[in-house]
Amino acid sequence: MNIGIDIVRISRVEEMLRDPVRAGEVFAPEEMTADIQTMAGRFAAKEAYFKAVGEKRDWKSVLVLKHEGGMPYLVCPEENRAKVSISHDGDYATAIVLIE
Amino acid sequence: MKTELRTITDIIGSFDARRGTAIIYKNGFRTFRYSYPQLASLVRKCASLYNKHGIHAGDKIALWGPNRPEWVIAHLGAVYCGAVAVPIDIQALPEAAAKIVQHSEARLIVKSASRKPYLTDVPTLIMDDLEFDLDLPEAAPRETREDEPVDIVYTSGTTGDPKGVVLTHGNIMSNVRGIIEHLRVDERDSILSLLPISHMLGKTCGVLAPLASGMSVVFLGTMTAGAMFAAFRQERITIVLAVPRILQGIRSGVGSKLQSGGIGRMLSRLSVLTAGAPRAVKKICFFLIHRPFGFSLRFFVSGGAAIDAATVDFANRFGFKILQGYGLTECSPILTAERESEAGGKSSGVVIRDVKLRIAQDGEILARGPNIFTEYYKDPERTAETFREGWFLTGDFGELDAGGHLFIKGRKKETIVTPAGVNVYPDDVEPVLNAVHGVKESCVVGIPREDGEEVHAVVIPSDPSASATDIMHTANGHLNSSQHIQSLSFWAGPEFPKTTTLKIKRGQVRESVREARKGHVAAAVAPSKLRSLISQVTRVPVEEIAENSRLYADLKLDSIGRIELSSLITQEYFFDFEEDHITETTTVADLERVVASRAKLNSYFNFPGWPHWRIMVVARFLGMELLQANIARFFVRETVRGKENLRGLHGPVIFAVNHVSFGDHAVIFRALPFRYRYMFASPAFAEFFFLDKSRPFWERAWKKFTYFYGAATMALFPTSEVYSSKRALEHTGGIIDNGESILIFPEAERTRTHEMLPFRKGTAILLKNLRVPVVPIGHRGMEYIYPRDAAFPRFGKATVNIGKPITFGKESIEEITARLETEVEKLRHL
Repeated sequence: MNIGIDIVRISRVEEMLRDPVRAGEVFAPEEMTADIQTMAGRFAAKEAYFKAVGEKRDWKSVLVLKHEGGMPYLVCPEENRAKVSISHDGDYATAIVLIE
Repeated sequence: MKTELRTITDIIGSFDARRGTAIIYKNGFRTFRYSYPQLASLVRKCASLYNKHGIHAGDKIALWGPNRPEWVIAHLGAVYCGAVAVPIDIQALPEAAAKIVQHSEARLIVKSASRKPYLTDVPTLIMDDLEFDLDLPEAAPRETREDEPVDIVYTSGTTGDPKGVVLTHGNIMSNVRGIIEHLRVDERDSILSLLPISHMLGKTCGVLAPLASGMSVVFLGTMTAGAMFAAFRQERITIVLAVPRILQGIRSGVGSKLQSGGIGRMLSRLSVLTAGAPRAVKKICFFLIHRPFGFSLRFFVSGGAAIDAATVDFANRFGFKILQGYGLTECSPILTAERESEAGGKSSGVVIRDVKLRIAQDGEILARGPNIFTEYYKDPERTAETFREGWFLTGDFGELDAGGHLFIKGRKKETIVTPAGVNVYPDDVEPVLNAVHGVKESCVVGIPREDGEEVHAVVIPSDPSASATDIMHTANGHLNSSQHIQSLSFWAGPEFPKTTTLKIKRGQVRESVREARKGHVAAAVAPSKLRSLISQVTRVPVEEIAENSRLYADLKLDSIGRIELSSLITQEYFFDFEEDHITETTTVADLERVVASRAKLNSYFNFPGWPHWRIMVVARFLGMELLQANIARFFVRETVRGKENLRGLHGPVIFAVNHVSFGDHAVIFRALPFRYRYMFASPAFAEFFFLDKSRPFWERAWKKFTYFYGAATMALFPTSEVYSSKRALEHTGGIIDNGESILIFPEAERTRTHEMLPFRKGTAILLKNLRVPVVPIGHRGMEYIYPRDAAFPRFGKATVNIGKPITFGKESIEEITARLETEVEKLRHL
């Protein structure tokens, strides 16, 4: 089982999102949402995923989406074995990814 | 035909009779084409969509997105129903966009998905999904008058009152007709529009005039050198419309190639000899340089800002033409332009039809003509101030020669225009500077540099020990990257020269700085462009950046910083810089080397192109038809149902099939109608093909053989991810554009039981991005004949059921995956 965790400052993600080219490099249109906190959580989840798989891949090779109820899930090659959990507080967002 | 076009609605009307392609959109992995009749229909349906949202004639619709077909559809749709478009530059800060929407009283905004977090309280349509909303009847035409407004284009910054230029059909059409005639373009041309459509030049010259004349407009989804040259290779481009920065980027790219290698240096020397030769001769001598641009290229049109003479000369040297012009948003926008026959001159050209120019006593350029706007929205005072006795005051100084050529001499206004064509307003930057600790007062001016204008800040410090670099960095931290201060100096005196109303005399300050520059260096100046970019991102002062500084360890670059730096380098140098160039150990010197040589990354694996050559149909016939299908026939009695569902279906699709055995390909192959049988590719796990070096030689050799066999006969391409990564999308997009379908097993592996495995969501991502219909196919029987754990196949019966093609639109990833699963499951049991 592999594990990865990351924490990020929401204000830095917000700054990055202001530039549409940068935003488009990191997030797929399906991941774009109005809530910046959620976007920051998604960014942390991507970083956590790269740590779990042990290598930095294309930003969009892993997509972080939400089920109807709000639970996040990953779209990636390890889809069936990967789990993610996200949290935010104040200016910070954090995520942890487990791959069996 | 041209003389009958009096309104933009007339342009839309002319589409139905045209046969060519109106818009070509290359989004980085696929090329989408819209024919003229298709575009007309979409535009009319868009007008219906607006009506559905309660938009009436005269209402304003804001448009906020990059260059793409949906922008044109959204804009022309607004025109068609009489609404007024309010374009917003995709790079605009959210605060600036909000101000524009508020001032213009826009009732609806059509925005790019990447702008979702912003302006959330305005009724919204997402531009990327626009086509999926257009399943509506076409709207009825309405009478359009020439004096009806079409656009309100804002040309001011975030602070100060927004200035909305109102342009009518008459204004814009006179420019459209004028430009078509001036540049002698017609439907045989094809223009690569790299200027944003939100900019008036990008709209009139980059979209409306081309569409009015019947040519094709090419948009790029990603603004990189690679994408541009791919466009030259794949489409027959005759005109390129770009900002000076892009042309400078091309020049430095060509320049660096000329300096590396013997041929390059030889060509450089040759260009000295051919200096005075006619263009045709130069085209022959420098054939190697012209080749990547395609041989149909007529000329480049530079716009958005003044281009530097050096780049124009460079183009001339090698036989390329760069046309310059002059205009303002208020003039729809073109006042003057060079004719193709005079390209490469030093002037901004001569007036286009119906435009009149005059030079005032103080040297200011005055203009008059049907293209000049009539009002600033809701601002009669400002409007009155810009006219004098019926002449429009451009705010620029110039001279006209005997032949009517215009030479720009300077600017009366305070706006700074960067080589990227971005307007930087001192009124926006100064308050940010003034808020920095250590700054008493500031004045921002534009200082000319070799490639254009530079944003320069002059500061009166409140604290004598204040550091210029610190002030510059702190301020830049609060500014949009296109507004960044590039150099900063301290003002010698205690006060800035001011008018009686205490407004800073920026002109005087600017002159002082220019004089001082001639002598010594300013307090903080970016020495090397790359280091200043690194400094900008890491917030480490430039002086502290050494050659051997490691980006991660020493300069504390983090992952968000790496994204920003890559983006800046790509934009600044116009070369496809990838994030992976920067690793844990990369130093500043390493980066400088990569940028100077425009090195390409040695990627782990390059998807081969040879399996997709048309000639490989022969290999597929031999391998699939003769070999595998016959083996399959031997073991499997196959029944196929549902072939009629594919009747009338043309063009590439995605076949989504359940996965049971290694014989699945052969079985499906036999089930497909002839036109799809030899034209599909299929992804397979990379591990299937490659073994690491630790395995014995013969095992690796066998794997190599199976890889080549698979690639040749089934166009198998190795990928551990049939998903959303750039490489996977580029490869699969290329396959679709090549006319081939893709056969995918959404379960990603063979099931061990008689039940399907859950479908991977990655397949849904692929479907959404490729935008082709999906044909679900469910088969049963192979689980008895050649199950996963069997060493050898048995005899038996199999049934293949082909479902109806599904075209997905705005459904979510989960919905698409669920729907596919349901359909394939149903088909399995038929």
